[in-house]
Amino acid sequence: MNTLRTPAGVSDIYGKDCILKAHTTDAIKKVCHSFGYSEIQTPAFEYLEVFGDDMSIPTDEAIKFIDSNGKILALRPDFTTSISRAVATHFADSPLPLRLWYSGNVYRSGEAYKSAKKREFAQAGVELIGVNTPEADAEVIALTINALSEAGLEDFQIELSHSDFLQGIMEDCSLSEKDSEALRSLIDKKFAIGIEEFCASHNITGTNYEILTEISLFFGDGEEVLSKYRSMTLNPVSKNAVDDLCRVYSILKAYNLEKYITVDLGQVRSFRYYTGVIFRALTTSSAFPICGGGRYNTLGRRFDLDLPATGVAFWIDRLADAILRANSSLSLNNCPDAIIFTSEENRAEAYKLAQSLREEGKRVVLDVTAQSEEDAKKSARERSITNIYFV
Amino acid sequence: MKYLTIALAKGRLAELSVKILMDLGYNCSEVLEKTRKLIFTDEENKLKFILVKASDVATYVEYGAADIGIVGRDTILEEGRNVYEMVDLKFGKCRMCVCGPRELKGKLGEHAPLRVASKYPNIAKDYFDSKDMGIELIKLNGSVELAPLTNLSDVIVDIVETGKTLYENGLDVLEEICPLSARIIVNRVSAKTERERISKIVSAMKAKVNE
Repeated sequence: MNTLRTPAGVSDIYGKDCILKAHTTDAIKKVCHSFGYSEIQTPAFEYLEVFGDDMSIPTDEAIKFIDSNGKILALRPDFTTSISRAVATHFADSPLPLRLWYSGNVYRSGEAYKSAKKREFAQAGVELIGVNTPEADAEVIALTINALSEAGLEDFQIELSHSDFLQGIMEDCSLSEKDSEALRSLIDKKFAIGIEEFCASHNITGTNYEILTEISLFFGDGEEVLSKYRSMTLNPVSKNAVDDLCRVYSILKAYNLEKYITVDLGQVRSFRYYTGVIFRALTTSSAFPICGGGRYNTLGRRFDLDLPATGVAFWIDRLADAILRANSSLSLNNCPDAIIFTSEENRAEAYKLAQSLREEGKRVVLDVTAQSEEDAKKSARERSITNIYFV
Repeated sequence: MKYLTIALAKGRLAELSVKILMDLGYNCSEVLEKTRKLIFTDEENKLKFILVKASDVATYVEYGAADIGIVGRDTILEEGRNVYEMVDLKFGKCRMCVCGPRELKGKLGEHAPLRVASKYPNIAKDYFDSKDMGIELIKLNGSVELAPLTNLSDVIVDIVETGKTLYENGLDVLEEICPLSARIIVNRVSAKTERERISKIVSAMKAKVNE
C-alpha cells in the first residue's frame, strides 16, 4: 500500500487553496458573528441512528464504522441533524430563539453522486432555532446574501421555493408516496415530456395539470412568479406555501434585497426534512449551487425536541472556487513580509528585531540555517521574500 | 457577454442538430467540416460549440463546461447525470430493448439469474431491479448481438432502431424498456443564471422540431 497517497475522495489542502478557503470561511464567520450568532461545534462522528431515518441524508450515503462496543458510528453527513441533536441535548430549556453558526467538514460516501467522487466537504452555516415566522426565514436569507457579498461574490441569485407547494399538489391529486417521489424527480429534472406523460397516466387535470406542465419553464423574477401563482386558485396547502413565500419576499424587499431574489417552485427540496421556505444560491461562476437552506420544523422531533427552525449551509469549496473565478485579481499571497538571517551568537538581538516587526503586524521568519550571505539571499528568493535582514 | 457553450454528440445527432441550429440563424457550419479544431465559435451570437463523445455530453453539461447539450436519451439514462432534460428533439428516434432468442419471449422470469450483456449496464440494472429480477451483468463495448449467439449471455439490453441486425441473427425484441430520441439538456445553474439566452435557444429549437 502506498502510504504517501490519501484515500480516494479526500485530499490535503495547502498554499493558495488554503488561503482562499480561509478567506471564504472567515467572511461567512464574520457575517454570522455580526448577526449575533454563536458558534457551536459538534463531533465529527456520532451514532448512525442520529442521522438514521430517511429524513436527512440516506444512511447508505454516510461513511460508517464500528465502535469497540459494536455500535455503528457515522461521520456526520450533514450538520443540521447533528446540531438538532446537540440542541436537544444542551439547550432544551434555554431561552429562544437560538442563533448558532458552525464550520467544519461533512462526509458522504459519494456513491449517490456519480459526479462527486469527493467524500469530504467543507461547510459553514447557521441554524435559527425556535421561531416559525417569515421574519426568521428572511433573516437567514439576508445573512446568506451578506455572507456571499462579504466573501467577494457580486453576481449571484437566491432562488426561493417552498417544500409544501408541490406537496399540496401531490396530496390534491391523491398520489401515493411512490408516485409523488416519481413526479418530484421528473419536476426536479425539468423533464417536461415526462411530466406531461405522468399527468396523462394519473388523470391529473385542471389547475394541477396547468401548474405541473408549466413548472419546468416558469421560474425567474420573484415578483412575476409569485404574483402569477397568487392569482391562481390553489389547494389550501399550496396556497399557504405561496402566501408564505410572498411574506418572506416582502420582508426581503423591505430590506432592499429583492434584486437578489428569484423564485422557482419547481426547485425540489434536497432533504426530506424541509417543511417550508427553501432556497439556494446560484452564480454564473459555479456550475453547482453554492449554498442551500430552508425551514425544517419537524426534524427535532426525532430527538424529542419540537422546535421550528431554519438555516443555511454554504459549500465552502464551491464558493471558494466561484470567488476565485469571479475575481481573477484576488490576492492569495502567502509570503512572509521579511526574513532575518542570524547566527547563534546574535540570536537574542535577532529575536528582538523579529518581535518588533511582528508587533507592527509584519510576518517575519527568523532563519539560523544560512551558511553565507549568498546562501541566505538564495533562500529568501526561493520563498519570494523581498525584505532581508542580516543580524 | 459571456459565451454560452453547446456540446454536441459526435455523429449523426450532431449533423441533425447543426442543421436545426443553422436554420435558426446560428453559425455553426464549421462544426461539420473535417478539421482538427475542437471548439467552434459563433462570434455574432456569442456561442461556442464543442463536439464530444456522446457518453460525455451530459458530463460536460453537469459540470458547467457546457451550458447546453444535445444528446440521445440513452446516454442521459446510462450516465445518470444531474442535469435538466428540457426538450425532446424528436429525431434520432429508437427504443431501448431487451433482446434475445425468440423462444425466450415472455419467459425471462424463468431464468434466474438471467445473464444480461449490454453497453448500458446502468439502464439494464435499473430495469431489472424495477422488475425485482436478479441478473448477472456483462458489460460489453460493441457488437452486443454476438453475446446471445455465442452463449456469453441469455439476453442483451441495447438500442433497437429498425431491428434488422437482430432479425438477421435470429434474435428478437423481448421487452421494450423505453423509447429514445435526442434531447436538449441544460446545466442546472446556467438554466437560471443565463435564463433568457438559454430559453431563447431552447424554445426556438423546440418550436423548430414541432413545425
